[in-house]
Amino acid sequence: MSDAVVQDLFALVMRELKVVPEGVDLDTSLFEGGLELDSFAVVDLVSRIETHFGIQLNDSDFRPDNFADIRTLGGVIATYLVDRPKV
Amino acid sequence: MTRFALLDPDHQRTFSDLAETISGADMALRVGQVKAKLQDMGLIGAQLCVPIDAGLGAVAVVLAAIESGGRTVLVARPLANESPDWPVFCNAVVMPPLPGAPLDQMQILPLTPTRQGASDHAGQILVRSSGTTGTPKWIIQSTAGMIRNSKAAAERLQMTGADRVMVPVSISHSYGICAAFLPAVLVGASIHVVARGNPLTIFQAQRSFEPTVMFLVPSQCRSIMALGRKAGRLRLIVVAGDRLSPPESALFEAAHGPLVNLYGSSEMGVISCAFPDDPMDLRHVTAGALVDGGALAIETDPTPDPSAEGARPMRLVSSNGFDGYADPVTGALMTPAPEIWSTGDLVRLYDAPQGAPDAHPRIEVMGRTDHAVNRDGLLVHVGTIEGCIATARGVSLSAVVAAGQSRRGIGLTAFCTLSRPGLATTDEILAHCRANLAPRAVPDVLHLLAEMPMLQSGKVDRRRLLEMAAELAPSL
Repeated sequence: MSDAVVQDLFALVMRELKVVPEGVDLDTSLFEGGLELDSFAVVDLVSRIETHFGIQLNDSDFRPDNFADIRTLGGVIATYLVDRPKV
Repeated sequence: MTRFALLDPDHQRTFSDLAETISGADMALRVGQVKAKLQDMGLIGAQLCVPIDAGLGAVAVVLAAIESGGRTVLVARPLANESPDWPVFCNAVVMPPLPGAPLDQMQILPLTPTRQGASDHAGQILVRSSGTTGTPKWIIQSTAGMIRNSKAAAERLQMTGADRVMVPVSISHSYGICAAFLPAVLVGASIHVVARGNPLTIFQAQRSFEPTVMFLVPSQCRSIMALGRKAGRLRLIVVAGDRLSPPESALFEAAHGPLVNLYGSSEMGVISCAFPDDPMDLRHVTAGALVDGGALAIETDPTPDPSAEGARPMRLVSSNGFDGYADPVTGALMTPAPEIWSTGDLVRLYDAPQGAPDAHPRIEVMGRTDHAVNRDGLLVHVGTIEGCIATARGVSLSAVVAAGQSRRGIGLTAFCTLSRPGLATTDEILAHCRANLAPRAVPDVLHLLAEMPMLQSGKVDRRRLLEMAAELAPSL
């Protein structure tokens, strides 16, 4: 589940980036030294994640370390999806 | 060794960053260790460059440098990929340990031969101007004047030792140090320093620290609003910099707590601030009255411009701590502070509300004098237009610059970013302006940008926007 979510998230982020830096992978920082998301891009990313995955992130998950990179963030998102019944 | 102490050991307080929380007594110990190191290296009373980050190491170093009685030169800590550009007139750079690292990782980098106890530099704090209006300058403030100004700000904000003050703005800038950090230090409040960063960082810090007072700039307010999360109501939210529009302020206040506008400059520190007890409408439209202390007075224009509809240039008679500007090479006083200081802003004055304990006029800051233009024979303030655009559906940031000519007079070009691509069109935003502004204030042109050019201070880079207005004009 987690790997699939991470790949899905990676594709989502890549679609939204205006400029994709070279060498971006799942472990690239979303912030400084990586994708350099600014404050509004972070807000936008949260909104897109919640819409795309049909989830609402808990307040306790709004921590910079959960948004460190795509792999970490994908792991967090996966915890919301793990108990969801398959349709 | 100690000329004076900023920390009162009797205060029951904490200092914290994202990595650790320590007591006020432990912070006093760290300050003492830094001063002992400065003493060992013959740097007491010297000119010390202090690179600031959002860590307790930087807090200890800046307090120690100020208490050491020389010149404290505040700069932002360079990023890992930036090469440092230290002020060459400093004797040494006192590099704080990174947040979370022990104090013994502090580094002292000598720059020039030490001039121990140089009397002409005694008791001064240097900050860099934001560069909003031109090339950044080194501003000299007397430490005593800055402390007096900070005490007045604390009094206006009704800060006490019971407050928990969150500072997500850099204390290398005037707003961070004069309005937030030093007032909180002086009243004995608990202090949490946070990197300016993104709304996630601020939200996490707000949840963990549970502040009563928080200092923000409008762009932070907007990103917090866009995040749509609440982390407890505050006693007071202080906002400075480019102004939030009154509707934005009301929305933010409803979600997070009473909001007051603060007005200041790198030269003057805190000039005015709203009274927390003033009615909400007045708090959101004005930046209150001049802060107390008898150091400031408004110099009014005897023959106001009738086209300005009550707006007048803001000039101050000041005995604040502003000494003048420093030569960027020698550090010597290059331009002394004038007796009457023009802030460069247009203001409108309102009577104090009936029954208010303070009868001083409340000050509405309408924007920079050079950001007001004559159209249809009357002045138009770009701040008013920006406030209107900011309330249009889908708009995230907005800025307006005067560029070229139009049939109404000087041309107005607006720029804005959207909170999400496609949320609004230029036609829809201009229609919103036409519905809410006088015809003379509707921008001639509006451009949607993917990203707003910003200065390091967090303010919009208007010089870049002027260039863009010129670049984009031929294609209109």
